Amino acid sequence: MKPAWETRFPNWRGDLFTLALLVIVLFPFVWIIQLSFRAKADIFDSAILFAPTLENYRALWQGNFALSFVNSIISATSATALAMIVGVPAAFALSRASFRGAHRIGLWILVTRMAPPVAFTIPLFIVFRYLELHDTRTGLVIIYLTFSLAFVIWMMKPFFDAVPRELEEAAAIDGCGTWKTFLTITLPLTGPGLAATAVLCFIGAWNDFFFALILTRTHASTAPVAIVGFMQYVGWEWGRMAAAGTLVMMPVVLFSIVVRKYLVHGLAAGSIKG
Amino acid sequence: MSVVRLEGVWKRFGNVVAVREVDLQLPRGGLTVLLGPSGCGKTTTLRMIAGLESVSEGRILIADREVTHLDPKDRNIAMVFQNYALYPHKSVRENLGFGLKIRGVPAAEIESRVASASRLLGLSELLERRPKQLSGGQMQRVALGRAIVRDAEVFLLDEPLSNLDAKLRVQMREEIYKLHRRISKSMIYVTHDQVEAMTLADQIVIMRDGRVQQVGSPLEIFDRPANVYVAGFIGSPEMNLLDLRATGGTLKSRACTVQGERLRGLVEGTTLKVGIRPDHVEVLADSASASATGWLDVEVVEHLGTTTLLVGPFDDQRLRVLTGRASVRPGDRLPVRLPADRLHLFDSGTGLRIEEPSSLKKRSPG
Amino acid sequence: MVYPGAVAQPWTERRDRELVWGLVPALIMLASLTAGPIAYLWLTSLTPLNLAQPATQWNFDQPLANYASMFGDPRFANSVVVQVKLSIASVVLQLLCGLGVALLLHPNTKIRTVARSGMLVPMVLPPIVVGITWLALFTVDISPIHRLFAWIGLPFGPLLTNPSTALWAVVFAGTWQHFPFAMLMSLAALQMVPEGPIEAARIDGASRFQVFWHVRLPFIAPTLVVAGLFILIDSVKAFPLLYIMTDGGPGEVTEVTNYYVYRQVFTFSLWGYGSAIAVLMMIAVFLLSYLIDRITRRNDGAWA
Repeated sequence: MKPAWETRFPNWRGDLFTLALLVIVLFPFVWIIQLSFRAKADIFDSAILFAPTLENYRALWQGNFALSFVNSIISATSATALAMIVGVPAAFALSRASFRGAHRIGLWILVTRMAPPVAFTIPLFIVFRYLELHDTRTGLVIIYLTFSLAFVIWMMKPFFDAVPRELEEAAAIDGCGTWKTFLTITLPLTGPGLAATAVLCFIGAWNDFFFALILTRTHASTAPVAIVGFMQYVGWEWGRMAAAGTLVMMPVVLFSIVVRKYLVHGLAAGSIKG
Repeated sequence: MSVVRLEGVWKRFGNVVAVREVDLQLPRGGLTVLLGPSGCGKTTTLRMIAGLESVSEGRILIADREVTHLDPKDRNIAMVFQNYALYPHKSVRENLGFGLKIRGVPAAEIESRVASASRLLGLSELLERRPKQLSGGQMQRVALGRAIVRDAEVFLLDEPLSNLDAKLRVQMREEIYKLHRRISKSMIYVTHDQVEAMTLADQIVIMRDGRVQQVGSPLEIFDRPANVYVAGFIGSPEMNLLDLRATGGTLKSRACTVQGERLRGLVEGTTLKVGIRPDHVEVLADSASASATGWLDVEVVEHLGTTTLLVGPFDDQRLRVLTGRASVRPGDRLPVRLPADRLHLFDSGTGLRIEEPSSLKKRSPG
Repeated sequence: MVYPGAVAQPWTERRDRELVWGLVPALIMLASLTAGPIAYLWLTSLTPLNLAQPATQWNFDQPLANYASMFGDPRFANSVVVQVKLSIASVVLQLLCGLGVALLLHPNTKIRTVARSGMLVPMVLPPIVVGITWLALFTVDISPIHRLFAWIGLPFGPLLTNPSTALWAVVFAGTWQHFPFAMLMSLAALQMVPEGPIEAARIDGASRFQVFWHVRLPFIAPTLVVAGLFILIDSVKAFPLLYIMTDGGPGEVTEVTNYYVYRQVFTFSLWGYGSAIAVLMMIAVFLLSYLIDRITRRNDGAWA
């Protein structure tokens, strides 16, 4: 006869192992957060307990980091909004249309998604020089569209595929035109998909480092680029880097908990770039 | 007085021909059933009438107006889909009123038409619910209600009962029957279920491989199937179809002979497909075998309650016989008679029904 | 009932024409943002472009010079070798870790359901944050890892400045960041393995490992292949971790092709040469995407 607790948790060995593994995997994440609350003097101290301080955050606020943070918010939000406005109808059209070439467009989008960013950066850098888009948020938004537009189309199409065609046929008989049907019937039914797509698209732009590193200097530099700035002083400011890192990752972590269910699909689409 | 007319309508999907040369006239106010197995083109035909599929060739007229190239919304039709196609994010009330709202009907009129349709269908209590909160039968009613509210010229129903369980299906079948009598709308109803077709239809159109096989009232089709296919498709248990040879005014196979007045005119020596419904085969009392056509070697005995189905070799073919309750056992050998006036004769080459000599027409089986 | 070609011909040509209008803006944007730049990239790769010397911009005198010079460039050859090492190690480690964790988390217990979400955290973190986190964890004087190993008597020196360990330290951090992707794909595939064959195998007396090897693995193999291809493509784009943790060094031991292009163009201003290498990378990525497209088309939707 097994003890009562063992019948209640028949998989306790695996569960225990799972917990241990989870702690190990999440350790770097938790560790960098706690580092951000350490005073300068405590950073090299190995004691687990320390007096938490907001000194690092205060320093960030007084420096230029706030501007970079705002830049990040504005450029990621604008890129997401634009990509959604243009990409969602396109995804619907691809899902419903029977014209030839739809599959080729799909493959093109996949390639765009997969292409190394440097391949777009070289030509766009030169073009931006002429258009004076260097170190501007507009320039950033434009270059973010190279991946977010393709991502939105790629992500939304299956959601539209899942809406039964009969609903649109019923609406056609009821008197709706093609795009009115889209707005009144199809779009409301893909609500969760829209939300997940927007969130993942935002995360993709928010997480960008490469484009912002190359195309911005001071005015439009984003939060991830600003963090790198802290590495350039002698005796790196670990506390400030950790605090900035924590600020940058918090929205992303919160958002992804919200759209957890759709991560599988979204990540296959590679919205989160490495 | 046809409300819908199809003239030489074809539908091709690439190289596949889904519907070939269909001519139909559907009477106003009647319920026409398009009946056939999956892939016979019945749903495609319905969708072409609705305007959801383009017509490859031919013309479609609704209320004497050509609609072949019109949009679905301009054809004055309403459709009930197999999966109901209720808008999941709209309440029952909004689902019912959507078609009117889109057409700019004033709110007060929408209100009153929704109210009367929902009274008719017993939906008044459910108007604020979402489709998800409805049972299958209720969803079915809302789908019907959406058509009623629109008051369209023709109602198109695409296998409307196939998503319901068996018991509910019978119940909804009766409701559709009563509804049709009450609102006397022209309806076109697609199904693969012959019982639905027989019970509901004023007119049945049987289709196969994209072609119309026969058009007629349920009993016409049952009594005078136009070809071997229809004969085998309609009726349960299935009609027996035997290969017999016309010989000296009788029909013969190796060890059986059917005699009868009406067989005299047959061309000597031709082989015919001879159909007879299982309940028309007579099992003779033992040894009274003088009038017997042949012998049935019983292999399978199915007790169906009121009736008994006997199946087994009959000469070198197979025969199904439906009798009343009988204490027959597998292995028994029974004398049976195929009454000549119950036979359906078909050309074994073309499969078409052989029309009988005029003198015998009045004695048609049934 | 199923009617042939049901995919898309409702009220037909007109609707198709209306749908095209939804596609046009996206196509124009995609063309100007991707096709245009790629064409420009290709043109640039045929010139010795140097932004300091404007005359070099449209100089097509020796169109294949950049491509030819790749062959005589040991640093390029080195970058390819580093790339291959990084890619193979990433694919193998991420698949193994992802599949292993997926097998652990596959049973539905409360703790494991929660853990499935928790494990995703590394994947969504901004790469830059992953970079500084691991840079800190590989820095001897603040890292608890170094302290732990020193405490148990196995101290080791800085990994990132040691040429023989730097690349593997970066791969390690990358695996931490990306293994949840392989885990998610494996979990999704495992959930679709039918119970029937598994139970049949158990009744036949197969051990746990045999059930995995003979029933589960063959079933999820196509998904793993696709996941592997995705990881491979991502590894070709590796940049932020390298930038933060090693800057391609020490020497050139962590300088992958992508990083080499970045250096050539944005440090040495060799735009033409960098473009030529980028063109080759595009071709490689195109071939891999095509492969993914073919495979997923065959096992429709198995992974998405």
